[in-house]
Amino acid sequence: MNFQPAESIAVIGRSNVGWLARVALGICFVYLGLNKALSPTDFLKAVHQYDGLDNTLYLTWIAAVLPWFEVFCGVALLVGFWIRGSAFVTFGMLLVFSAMVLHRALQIRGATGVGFCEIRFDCGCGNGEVLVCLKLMENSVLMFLAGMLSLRRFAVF
Amino acid sequence: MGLAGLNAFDPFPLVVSENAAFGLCLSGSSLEPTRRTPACRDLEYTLLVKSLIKETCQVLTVGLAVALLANRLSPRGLPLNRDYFKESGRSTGNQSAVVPERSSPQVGDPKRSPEITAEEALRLFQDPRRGQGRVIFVDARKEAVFLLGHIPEAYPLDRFYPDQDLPALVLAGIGAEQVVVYCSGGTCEDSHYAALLLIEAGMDPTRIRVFAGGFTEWTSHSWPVERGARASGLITPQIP
Repeated sequence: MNFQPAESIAVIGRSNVGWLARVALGICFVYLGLNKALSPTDFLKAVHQYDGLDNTLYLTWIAAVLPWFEVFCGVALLVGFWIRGSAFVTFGMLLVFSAMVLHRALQIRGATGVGFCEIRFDCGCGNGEVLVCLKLMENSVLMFLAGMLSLRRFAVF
Repeated sequence: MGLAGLNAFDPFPLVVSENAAFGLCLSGSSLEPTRRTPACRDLEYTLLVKSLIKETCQVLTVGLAVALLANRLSPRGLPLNRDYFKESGRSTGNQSAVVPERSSPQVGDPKRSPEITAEEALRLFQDPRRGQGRVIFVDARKEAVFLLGHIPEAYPLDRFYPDQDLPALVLAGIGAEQVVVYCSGGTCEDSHYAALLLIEAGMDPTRIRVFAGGFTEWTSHSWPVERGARASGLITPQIP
């Protein structure tokens, strides 16, 4: 059996589920990343509210670099370059973001007694104030897509 | 089974790499995962994990380099050596995002400027000294929001990008007896940080007050608001 690169490319092209997954994930990351990158100070203030770092200089680095890094991963997914690596990294980011949003939401619930799914705040996710439940559900879907893409059975692209 | 047939039921069809060992393994096995030999499957998983680690490292390295460059080139980029929350005047540790905090100056925090109420801010706004530049207001919100509306004749000071506003403000501050700094109000901390910037620029800290209720409280009373640039004259309602 003789496998040619052209055959491989053709097979990737016909993988509709994989294509849809990476385009959906890519568009989300480019959109949310650009929203933050074009207004890094709003993102910086949103990250500051999590109060998770003793050295606040790290917040500047996060606000300066993370949005553009998200855009990079999104573009990589869209153009089909380093798909599994980008998907794996986005999975990791989403996991950390979700844990932070959940922690913050539980803090707010403890302070105010508001029902969990009624909690709404600017999580610094790139789309302003959001309902926590919806955000966590959205992140779960994106994590599923990212996990699926990073574990696809390609040996090497 | 040909590649087309395989693709009919497999959303992520196997793409054969240039890896010679894997190619040889597959040539003696089957493209269909369930029919592969155990040795071939083990090799595939090993290659999969290795390539995933390799790609992840590549994405992290190149992605971080691109992100640093993009931040450097962006007009809204942040300087990486500036700590925007240093010498914080307000603790945010247990502060709720949905419960506005009104706090008084903390003992032992000399850099924290005293806060004033909305009524005190209005009194200073109506003070005749304001027309002579001896009472000035400073808006510490970002420029886009400032242009939508601000306290009439307030000076803009975006604390994240102070270079363009600070020189004119320091000049105006020389003759000022009272400087009132405000931001959005609620949990907004920018007014305190902007006050710190003014103090670091040489203004007398005893003359600086922070209007803690901020622009939200100001507009809730339907007090005059100026739209557009500073001193544009587009004020509603008109000042009596």
